[in-house]
Amino acid sequence: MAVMKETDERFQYLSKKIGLFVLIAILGIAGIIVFIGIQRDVFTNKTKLYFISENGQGLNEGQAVKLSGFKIGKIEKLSLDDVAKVKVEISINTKYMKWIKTDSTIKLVKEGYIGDAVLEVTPGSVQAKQIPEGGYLNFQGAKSINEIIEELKDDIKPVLLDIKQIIHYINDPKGDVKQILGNVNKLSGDIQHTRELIDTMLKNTDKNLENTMKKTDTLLGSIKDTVDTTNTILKNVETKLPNMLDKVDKSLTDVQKITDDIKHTTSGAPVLMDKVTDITDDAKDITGAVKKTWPISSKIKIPEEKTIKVDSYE
Amino acid sequence: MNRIPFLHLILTYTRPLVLTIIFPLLFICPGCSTGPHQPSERQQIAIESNQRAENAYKKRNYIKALNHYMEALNISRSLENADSMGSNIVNIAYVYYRMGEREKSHTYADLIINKNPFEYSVRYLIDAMSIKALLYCDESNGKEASFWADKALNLCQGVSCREEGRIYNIRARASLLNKDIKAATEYAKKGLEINKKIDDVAEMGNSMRIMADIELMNKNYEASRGLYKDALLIDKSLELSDKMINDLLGIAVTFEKQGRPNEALPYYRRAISISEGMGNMEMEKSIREKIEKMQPQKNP
Repeated sequence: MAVMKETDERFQYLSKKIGLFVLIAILGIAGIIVFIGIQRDVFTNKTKLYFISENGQGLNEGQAVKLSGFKIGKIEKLSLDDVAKVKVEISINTKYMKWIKTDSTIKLVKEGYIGDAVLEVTPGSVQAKQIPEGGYLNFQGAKSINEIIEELKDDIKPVLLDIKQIIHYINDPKGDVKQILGNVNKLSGDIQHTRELIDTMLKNTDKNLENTMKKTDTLLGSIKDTVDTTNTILKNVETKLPNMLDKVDKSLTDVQKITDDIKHTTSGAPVLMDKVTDITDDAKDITGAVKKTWPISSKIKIPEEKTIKVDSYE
Repeated sequence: MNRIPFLHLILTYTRPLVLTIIFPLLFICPGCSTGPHQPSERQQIAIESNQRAENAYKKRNYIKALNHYMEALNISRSLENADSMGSNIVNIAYVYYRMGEREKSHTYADLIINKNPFEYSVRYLIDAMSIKALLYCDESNGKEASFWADKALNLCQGVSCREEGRIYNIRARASLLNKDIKAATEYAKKGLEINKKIDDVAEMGNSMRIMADIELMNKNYEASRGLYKDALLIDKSLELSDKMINDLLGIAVTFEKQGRPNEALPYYRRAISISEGMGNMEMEKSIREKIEKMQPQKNP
């Protein structure tokens, strides 16, 4: 008995069915190509603009150009001009051109600590005209680490000089502080001497009261002198100390400002570390999941604790 | 009639194929996605600590190894995982033994032997008893060493035990300490036989070295040297530097005992070179002292 019949209903219109199938496949592929093209802005009108950079560091062909966080174009070409500067050609989606003015600038910025840098275009002023096709944008290069350090150094230098001056001022043997300290020291010595005199006087009180009275007069005179000297010194301190304290205060304010700047500059580090940790955790999770998936799981040996092999002759 | 038989065959058998094979597979494969039983997250941390400890131990960083084994032990204790606890306690006892911290090593080995806080697997018990025997060997206490080695051997009888050859070696060393050369020879031979059977090359080297030591004590210098040389070959192939030094020193001593210091010297020098390579200054110094003490060979 024949297994197949030429009149089998399933083979009716077979060629048409195959044709339809192939047509749908071709249309599907074409649709995908068009979709990818749209996604990649192949069919979008573009306008070419240029800018000149001192060097090509951080610039790559295909690098995104953004305006207020929106991708509006990319770097098309990098080339060296006659004076060995880098001429960068960028293509901008024409619909975004209305925001790019003659006074717009373009700069290289990093969106995060990890990843590529992007070019950020700043919208120009309202009064300025739209930049024409083939126009040149003003490029602001990103600050290098060396430049940041140089800036920081410039900020710190005056503060250090201030502190140096203050220390010098305090240490100067002819300076006010040293003299005040010297005078206070002398005053202590005088008071000590006065006390010794009083002690002696009190011992001899019984013997020679009159003499003692005379000595007391002298002593009181001496005390008066000493008190006068003290008053002078204190007045001196009163005059000089506020100035000195102002200087110290100013320097401390500067130090505080620099500390804040440094804090601000490095504030991204913990965030970065958190991100790295998150990424590591994610990678670990993914690896873990893959390891558990058949058939990979069957190839991966489950880790186990090992006991050191005891050796009979160690 | 047979215009497109192949196509017909496919169409005829596709449905049963889908129904009988592919469709059930869709239900089976989610089951396939679960691999073998994975350790819990905390046990995983204990395993990682254990592995870090093993790496440190291999690099002879015993303090670091101890810290990691302790960490692993604490985790397994908190989970009351007896197997993991047993493994880590034995490891700690052995690392202490290698560090020369005998008392601490005894303490940890006793945890297993005294079933503290519960009974451990026999293999850990055998390991703990072996460590005790080794500790007593180091203390030159042949009697206690024999006692613990015998206990370990008894335990080995009941189970399939890969450690038997190693324990016979320890027993042989204990007998040597007891000056029972005959028993030592028997145990060492038995050890060698078992180690050969289970292909435990490192322990085969140990058996040979013990036998060489026995021959040296019996003043059979040629036989002793031959055994040391065999042991050296094994130890070199396993890159066991400490044991290589022992073998070379053994060879040198056999020559020296025969009044052939000139032939002993190259072996001493090789031992010095290995000690220098290992950074073992103490060993290097002691070998140099041996050379200095060596009597110069008289010309015939």
